[in-house]
Amino acid sequence: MFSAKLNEKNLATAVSQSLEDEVQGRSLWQAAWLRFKKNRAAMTSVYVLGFIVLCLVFGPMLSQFGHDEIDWAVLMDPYELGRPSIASGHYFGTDDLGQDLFARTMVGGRLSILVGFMGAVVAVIIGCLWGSISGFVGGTLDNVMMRIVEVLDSIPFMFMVILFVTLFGNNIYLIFIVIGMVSWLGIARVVRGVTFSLKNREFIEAAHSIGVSHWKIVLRHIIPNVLGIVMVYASLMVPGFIMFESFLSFLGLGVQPPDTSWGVLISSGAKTLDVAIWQLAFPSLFLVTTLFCFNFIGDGLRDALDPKDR
Amino acid sequence: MNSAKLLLKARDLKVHFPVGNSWLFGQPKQLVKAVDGIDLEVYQGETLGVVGESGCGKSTLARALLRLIEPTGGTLQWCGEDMLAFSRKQLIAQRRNFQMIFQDPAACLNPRMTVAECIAEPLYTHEAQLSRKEIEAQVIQMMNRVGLSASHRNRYPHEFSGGQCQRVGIARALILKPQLIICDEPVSALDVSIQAQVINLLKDVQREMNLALVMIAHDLSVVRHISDRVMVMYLGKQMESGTYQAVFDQATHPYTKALLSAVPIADPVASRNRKVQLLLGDLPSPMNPPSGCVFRTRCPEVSEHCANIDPQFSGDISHQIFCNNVQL
Repeated sequence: MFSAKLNEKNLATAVSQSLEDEVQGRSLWQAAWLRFKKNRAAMTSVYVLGFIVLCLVFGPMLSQFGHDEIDWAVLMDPYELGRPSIASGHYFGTDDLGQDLFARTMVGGRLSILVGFMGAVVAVIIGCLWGSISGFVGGTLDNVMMRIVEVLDSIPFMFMVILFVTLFGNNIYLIFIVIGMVSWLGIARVVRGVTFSLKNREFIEAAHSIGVSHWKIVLRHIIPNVLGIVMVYASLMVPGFIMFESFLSFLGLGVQPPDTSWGVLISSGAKTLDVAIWQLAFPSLFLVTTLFCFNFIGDGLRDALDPKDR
Repeated sequence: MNSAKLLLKARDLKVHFPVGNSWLFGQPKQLVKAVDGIDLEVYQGETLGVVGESGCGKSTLARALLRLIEPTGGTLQWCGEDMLAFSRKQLIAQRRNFQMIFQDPAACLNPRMTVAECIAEPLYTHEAQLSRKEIEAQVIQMMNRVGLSASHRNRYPHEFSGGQCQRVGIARALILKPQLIICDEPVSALDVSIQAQVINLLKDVQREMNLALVMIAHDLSVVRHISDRVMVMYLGKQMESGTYQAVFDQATHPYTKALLSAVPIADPVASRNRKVQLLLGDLPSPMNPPSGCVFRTRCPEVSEHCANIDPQFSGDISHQIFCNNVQL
């Protein structure tokens, strides 16, 4: 009876009839975005960060010097001739070797930000899948997967870096690999915890009762619901990665000259703090501003995505 | 009743949950007997009401009937086939024939999906060959059928009231045209005026689609309104069951009588004059149920042999009770 009723109605009329007074709903993402936009600190941070990224992308084009180019004229007395000045073309001054600090800050920033983003992206992808599968399946698999996480987490970070550097030589990709290896561990734990609480919710049970496959439940129901927390976590992790890369470079385990990063610049700037403050000031200013921006954005995301706000 | 097709048949169905961590300390594992030996049949087009107080295993029974929780004992048959022997694949394919409606209407919808996506999910799962247009048309028709405006289909669950969310849940359960729907307290989270609407909606679609309903509730007036047959549960066991008239009008089991006497009456004079038979004490722990008859600790008609012998079955298919002292 009922099916006959369904079929006798024409598809087209049914669709067109309802299209007349369509009401577009506001998804939780859209609602969160609206809340985020109201957060002044976070929005300012977005603009500042956008500006920094634009600088990093296009800045080196404005410089008269390449980042690895030595200005021989300055090299005679870098602490006097290498002061920041518009006239000489060294807007941020030069370092001890007469290399233009403006170009170096911009080029170095690319690497720093890239490391931060790469770390976050790798962390989100691997961490989400690992954590949600572990939490959803539970039992022995969960035990095994979490023990793997703990084992990886217990290997000292620095030890791995030094080991890799000794084995494979000093290579920028090593930083990416090492960060990739450790960055997802925290997220995997967080996601597993959230999945545990989600998987007993009624809508997951409803999906089971409909007959949705486990894999689809993870992809369609679990991951979209943990993504909010994950985004907050990831955005707060980005500064950590940038700091980590700076730290490695500071120790001389990271980027090698003539390539550079903010950590390298700060490291060398710190040595000439008393005679050439600009060598420390400009890279630090960029680093600190970027870190602040990410933290504010993370805070803003947390407030915006907090489900209790609903 | 007996001419209708037998859909679901459970015999001595048991769900026991192990509790306590015996792995580390070697304590003997204890069992929570949430459902302990339930027999029931569901026929096409009829409504079976399951009543009992909170914690008596109603929801566990509902899930066990659909194998959302694996039963630990007994048999379960779907249309004559052994449901417990279904492989995972077979079970998933069969799920289109039996659906479930949940207690908390807001919590049973994924907050990140539009209601159209929620309603269409069974179609995505079981009718993957349908085009988007066909799916959309079916969703729209189903929304109209359950009394939702199809123009709201791109809204999200948090933008709906509880009653509307429950209609979405019903639409989702109906869209594959199942033969059986198990409703786990479908109206207990709704206010009374909405309860009536939802119950009437369920009755209407039941008549239209010749649907079997298992209506789980602790609210007797809801069960009275919709059920053909009723089963009364206490601590995972069956106390009394039978046709709606038999259980409600000729209640025999002391527990059923106590339950019925506690139903509020919308008449102050009548309610002041009647004698409410209060049960003393709390529900005993299902981990450590009383020996013999599980109801004996609170039974007003208890006698000393109740502790030693299991309750006796008496009655026929239209009315049956399990009690040592009262016989049909």
